[in-house]
Amino acid sequence: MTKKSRYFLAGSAAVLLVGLGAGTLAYLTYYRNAGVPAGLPAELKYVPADAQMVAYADVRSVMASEMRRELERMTTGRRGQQQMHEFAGIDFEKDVNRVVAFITPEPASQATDATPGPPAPPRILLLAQGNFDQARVEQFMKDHGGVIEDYHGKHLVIRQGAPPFPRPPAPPTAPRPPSADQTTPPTRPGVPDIQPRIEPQAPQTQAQPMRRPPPETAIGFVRSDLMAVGGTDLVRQALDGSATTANITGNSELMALIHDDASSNAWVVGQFDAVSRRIGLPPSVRGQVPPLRLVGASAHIDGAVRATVKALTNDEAAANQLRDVVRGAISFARLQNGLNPDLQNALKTVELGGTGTTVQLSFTVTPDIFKGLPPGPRPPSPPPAAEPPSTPK
Amino acid sequence: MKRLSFLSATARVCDMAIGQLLWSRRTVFMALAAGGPVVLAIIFRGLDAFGMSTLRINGVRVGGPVMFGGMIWLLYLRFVVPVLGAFYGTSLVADEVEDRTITYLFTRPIARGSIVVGKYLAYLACTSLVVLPSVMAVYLLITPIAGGSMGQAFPSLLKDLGLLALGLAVYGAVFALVGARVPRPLVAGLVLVFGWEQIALVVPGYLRRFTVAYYLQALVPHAMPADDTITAIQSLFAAPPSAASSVAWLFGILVVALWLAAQALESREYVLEP
Repeated sequence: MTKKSRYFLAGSAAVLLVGLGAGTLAYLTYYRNAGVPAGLPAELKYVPADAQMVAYADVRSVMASEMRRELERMTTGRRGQQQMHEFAGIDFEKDVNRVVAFITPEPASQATDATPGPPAPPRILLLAQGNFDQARVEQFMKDHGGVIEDYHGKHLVIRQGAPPFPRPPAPPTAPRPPSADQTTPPTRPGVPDIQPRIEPQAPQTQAQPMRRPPPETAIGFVRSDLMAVGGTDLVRQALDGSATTANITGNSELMALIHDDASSNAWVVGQFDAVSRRIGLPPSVRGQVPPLRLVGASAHIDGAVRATVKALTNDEAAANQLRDVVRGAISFARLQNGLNPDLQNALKTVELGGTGTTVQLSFTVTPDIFKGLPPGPRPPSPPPAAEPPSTPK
Repeated sequence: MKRLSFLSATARVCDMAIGQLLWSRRTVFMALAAGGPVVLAIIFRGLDAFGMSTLRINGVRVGGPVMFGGMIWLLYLRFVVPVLGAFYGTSLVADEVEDRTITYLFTRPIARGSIVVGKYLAYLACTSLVVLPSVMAVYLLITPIAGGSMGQAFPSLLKDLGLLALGLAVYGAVFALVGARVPRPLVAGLVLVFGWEQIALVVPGYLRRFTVAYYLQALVPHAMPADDTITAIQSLFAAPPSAASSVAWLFGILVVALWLAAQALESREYVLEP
């Protein structure tokens, strides 16, 4: 090799190494500033400190798991994926690597809002990390009624939620005999009054309770590989970055639970009050449960699901009480006759543990359990098509 | 004369071939292919520095990491890597035949296969050390545009560098085989890159599995830009293989193609035309 060639190659290698060094430095600086401990998803820096519930899923590993393939063999429908695709032009299976979602408490103004009707939908933000074609996603949203805004130099696509279905018209009220207090036009003598008198109805807007406006959904790209989907204000917060508000890493209680679940490929942690309300636990049942502060569930999904449910109580007495309740339930389940053998085996894997104020329940679920379960209700078959009018043959 | 071992012979041929490859008439093309994206990145960066937005989608500026991802797809993966592979890979043996110097190599006490392997390694060193610094320069110039973070994009850059190096290696091996077997290898190489690969990728069915691009594209950490109809069709039928199987297939293609090229040189009689 000539000296010229050697210098050329050495120069090229030097450029490459300098670039790699600069990139490494930038990478380390970025993650140090993010303040998220190693081993946890970096998206946690966008989760506010007052989040009631935080969930994480390593979509890539879950999708590649043997368990998922087994379940897919058993089921044929992929409706959820289609819905996601319809929503944002994203193939959840191919495009998404991991997902972090959280629920925040309602702002004080909404919490005290006495608007009648159904409760306000939860304030959820979903952060999906993956490979996205921003232009395609935005165009998809635009085609489906989304409006693109420029928010601090970043795109924000806002889509008004679907309006509530129109109510069917009210049935006509039965004709009533004229009453004495009604001022009715006099009838002509000799002509029977056959016209039913229908009471003038009040306008529907007065009779019906005020409804909440349909919720807005927004999509914003925090980075080219990180998409935020959820309420507009939450997406704006995420686009602002973590600098504006304190993030979840400052919430030591939830972070302790998250750290425990870090090795799992799916987990959810949250405050018990919020979780029980969101899953619709009736107040009477909530009253029976010993006072809990935090709950968490994690699962490592590969050939089977190794799941752990953890609860933190206010004091040790409550933890002991909860352990007794759970122990009783497990014993009761094991005593049941006629259980599927796979389910019986699964019950054998249930372990109750935890010390102090922590109650922990772990178990393993294999795909065989699902094989033994009776099939769920079939989706309603479409109504038979109307008989076509008989045509002459 | 003592016969050199395969490894020693490969190293000697590689050492000799690096100079030939770097300072041949093809160097101008390599400089253009690797320097073009850098010049483009300098222009983008300059426009950004003067407050002129370079690229907008739906009226809003596109961030630096997105632009970088687009350049990796459109410039490097679809053009620079396959074309450099075709130009240099096909020339590894064909140039020696064309210049009628292959007989000098055959008279040396070395295995013929070591000529192909040595020249292939020289090709890999030259192209990698030209293309990868070019990618690095583009990354340093483009990523900070519109508030992009170099730190965030760094893991993607590492994947890009590995992917492009693998692409150069696989295309080089395939075109080395073409160069050792086919009479007009450059034409055949260009037909393979711009004809077969482009068509097979958009045809539904299994044809795309017989292209290198199919496996390379499955490894790209950036979203495929929806730039044209071909891409739209491609994404419609896309069912990318997993990363692990793509890497396995690419290594398989590399090893088989290189072995076949070495075998071709071992067995073939080259008749040098006057």
